[in-house]
Amino acid sequence: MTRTRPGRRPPARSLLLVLVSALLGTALAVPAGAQPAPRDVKINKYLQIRTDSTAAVVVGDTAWVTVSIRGKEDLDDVRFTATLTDGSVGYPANTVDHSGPYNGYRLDRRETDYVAFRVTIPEGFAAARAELALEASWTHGDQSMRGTETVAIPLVEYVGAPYSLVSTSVTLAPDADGWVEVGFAGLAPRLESFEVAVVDPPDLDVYYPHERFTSLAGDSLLEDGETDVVRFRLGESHWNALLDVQLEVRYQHQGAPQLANHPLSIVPG
Amino acid sequence: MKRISRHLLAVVTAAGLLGACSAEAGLGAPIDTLVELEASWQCDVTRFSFESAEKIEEKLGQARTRFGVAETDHRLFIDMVEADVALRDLVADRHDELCPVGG
Repeated sequence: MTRTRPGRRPPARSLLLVLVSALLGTALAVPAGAQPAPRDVKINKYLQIRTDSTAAVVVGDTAWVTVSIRGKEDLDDVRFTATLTDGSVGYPANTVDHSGPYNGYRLDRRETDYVAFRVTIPEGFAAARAELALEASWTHGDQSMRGTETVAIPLVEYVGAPYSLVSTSVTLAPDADGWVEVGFAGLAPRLESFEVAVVDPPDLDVYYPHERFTSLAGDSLLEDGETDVVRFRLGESHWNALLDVQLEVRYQHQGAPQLANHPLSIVPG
Repeated sequence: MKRISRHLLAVVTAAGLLGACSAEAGLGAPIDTLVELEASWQCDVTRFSFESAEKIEEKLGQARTRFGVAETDHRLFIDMVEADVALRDLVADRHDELCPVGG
């Protein structure tokens, strides 16, 4: 997955260490050919993991998911490995045992890129989400470093439905200013004009970006394998109460209008 | 004020690059189109799961087609982005708008 690019290969640091050792006539603490252990650091000081939650994966399925990253410093030899507590992780064929940024192993400050992982979620996985534990390593100047971060993989069941809510319960964060975010995972191809509204309770104080409904953040199309979100804003009087609401979802599938209702719990954070 | 200045700088840089880069680097697409393509692609790629690694390339190809950008121009642009912090800022700022962290 990582593109091979001239001048973007990891530095030959081992060779440099051996040469310095020979010139000084001293034995290095690190054996020739070995590198010092990377220093454990807070990953967000050097590179930003921009993805909290990947696209959803169907339980029992194998799929590639991606994680958005951005450099906070100029970094070389950026590599990621990942593990799932239950399930397995694979890497691109050209990197075998790790995943690198798509545009090469170097990640400059403010450069945005992504890394991809092939995840397999076993049948019968009961949790609503899997935790993808990332370990990143890189060099910054002369320092080898590594850091860890965890990213969620939402899991959905495929039951022949055209789409699935990522979760039937969402948390209204204290700093969200009343904005509720609901994730939808597309299962069937091309659900067009995807619109969502709260229809019950009917007197709920709710604000929509489109006056009477909200639509997907990306665009109005929900595709197979895509995860997107809708957002609506609750009036301030509802921010601290547990709410059970009904969502009405309208969309076009194969040219025919469709309508469905879904219960959703909104839990104060 | 800082934000306005930064955007102004970015616009001026983009405008300058549009003329200079398109002509001198042989880009076949305007810089602002390439910024939009790269920022939206970096956003879109995280919203999908893919059956295979090849499907990611297919999706990227579809994005290029949608923006009317040739693969060679896109790759050349990425090389320019890596070499130029002003271009990285343009892509990053647009990416932040399209795909805020946690949003």
